[in-house]
Amino acid sequence: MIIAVTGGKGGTGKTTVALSLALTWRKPVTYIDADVETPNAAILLGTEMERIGAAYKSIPVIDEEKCIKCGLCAHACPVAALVFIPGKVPLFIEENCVGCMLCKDVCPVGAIREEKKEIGIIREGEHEHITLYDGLLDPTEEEAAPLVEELLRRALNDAKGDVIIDTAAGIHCNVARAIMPADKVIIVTEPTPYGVHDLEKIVKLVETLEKPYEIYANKWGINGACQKRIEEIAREKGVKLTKIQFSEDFARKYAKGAFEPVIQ
Amino acid sequence: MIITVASGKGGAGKTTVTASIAHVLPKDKTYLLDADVDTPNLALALGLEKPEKKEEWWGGVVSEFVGNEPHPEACPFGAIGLDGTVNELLCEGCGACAKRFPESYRLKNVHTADILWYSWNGVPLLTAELMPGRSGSGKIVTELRMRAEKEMAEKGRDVLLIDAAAGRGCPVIASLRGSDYAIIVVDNTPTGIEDALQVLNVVEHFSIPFGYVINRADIVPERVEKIEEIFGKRRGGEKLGEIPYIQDVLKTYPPPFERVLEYINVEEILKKI
Repeated sequence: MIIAVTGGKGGTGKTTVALSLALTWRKPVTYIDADVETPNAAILLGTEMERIGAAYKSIPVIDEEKCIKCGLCAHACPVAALVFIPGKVPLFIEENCVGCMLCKDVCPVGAIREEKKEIGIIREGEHEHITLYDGLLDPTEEEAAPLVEELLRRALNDAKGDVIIDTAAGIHCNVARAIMPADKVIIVTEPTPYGVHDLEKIVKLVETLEKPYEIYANKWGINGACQKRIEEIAREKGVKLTKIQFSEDFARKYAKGAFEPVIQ
Repeated sequence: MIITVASGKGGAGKTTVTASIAHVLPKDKTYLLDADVDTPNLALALGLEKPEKKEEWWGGVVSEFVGNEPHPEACPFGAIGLDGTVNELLCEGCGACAKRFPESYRLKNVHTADILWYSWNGVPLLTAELMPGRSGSGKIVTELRMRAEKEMAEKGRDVLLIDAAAGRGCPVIASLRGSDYAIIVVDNTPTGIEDALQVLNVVEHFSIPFGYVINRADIVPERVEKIEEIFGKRRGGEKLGEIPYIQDVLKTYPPPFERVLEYINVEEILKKI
């Protein structure tokens, strides 16, 4: 069974719920922290992580000696990563490049070669019965998609028992990527106006992906009106709602770096 | 003057800090931009329910399988299946497939986001709502920035305050690029500090001067000095405040901006503009 834990808004408790599930899981479990921009599970568990792989993108390297300055590569580039100024070797703007290598294919003199550039690393660590995987996007990289893809591929391939996937915040394509392999989704929300507002968005994404889901409402007890709205949404959608009481004690322990499961 | 508020970690207090600062900026000069297009909450924090104007943005493109011959190998993002069809949620709209196999693939524009205009006590607030699962939040932020800067030039406004998204990827980079000043909200938790450091790397990459606000400072008071050491002494940021753990921020709506402002060095921020 593969469970994805997501939430829309940041800071509602996605990682808290996902880690609580993993820590109280009865069997060995694989945990994938798919938030490669700001991975937090290893920090909370204090797990020592080891590099086991990397994700790469292809980039073109132009041989300036061979280049006949025809501009065909720049013309072929779908994302304006190569800029042609007549009489000059095309200028490469790496941040625009998606790595399709169409430029290489159209070059009439074979002046372009493909180079693999590392965009981030994949790590693995062990904590009790949990095998933890995460990714670290290179500080200069903008596009996380290939790293998320490679992390999921690698971890799901290695996984033996059940899997818990902890997604990034938001409702964008990399959240969708992390939800896609799941059999079931847990949406973590909080009873604040923001939490409720963002809950409706993430529900829409999960429904688009046609995944069965449950709602976990974290920090229960802080706002009656918002709690009522969350109960209404769960009822309307006909999904299970699990409430986790707000605990200042938990917040303080979390801040100190001592993580304790919030659910059994 | 462009000021961007970022934090890396979600729920660190970006929107609360942004909305608080908005209260002290000159109303006739300021323009607000909520760049968290996945889950925009600045308007909500400022008590605004309905936008004054809404426009569908069809700026994003995705590929469509229009031929007979499937070419999954043409996609650098693995969005094309073995049967040739395109998974729109995985397609980044780069157009590599359409350029390579124009008989099989064609790009089409899609409804990527709704752009929303609000007005808060006469201060314009621009944001967008991403359609679930779409890619390109960075492009949307760049589009919002262009529109905001154009409107600011027309209306004689010169202070742009941006509330960035969580994380440190495309939309955050699109918010920080070209900013004159960054305010990093550091949530006083191990993960809050780590994620703020990720954002700081981007801020330094663009050589943007920055300040930092420590949120929930009193929850582990003994760590405040360490945060000052890292973000101040070592990385050169100026400390703009130390907000205690105010439970009312979570419990009351709208948030108690006056109380939050007591802990932010407003004079220092006003000096920038």
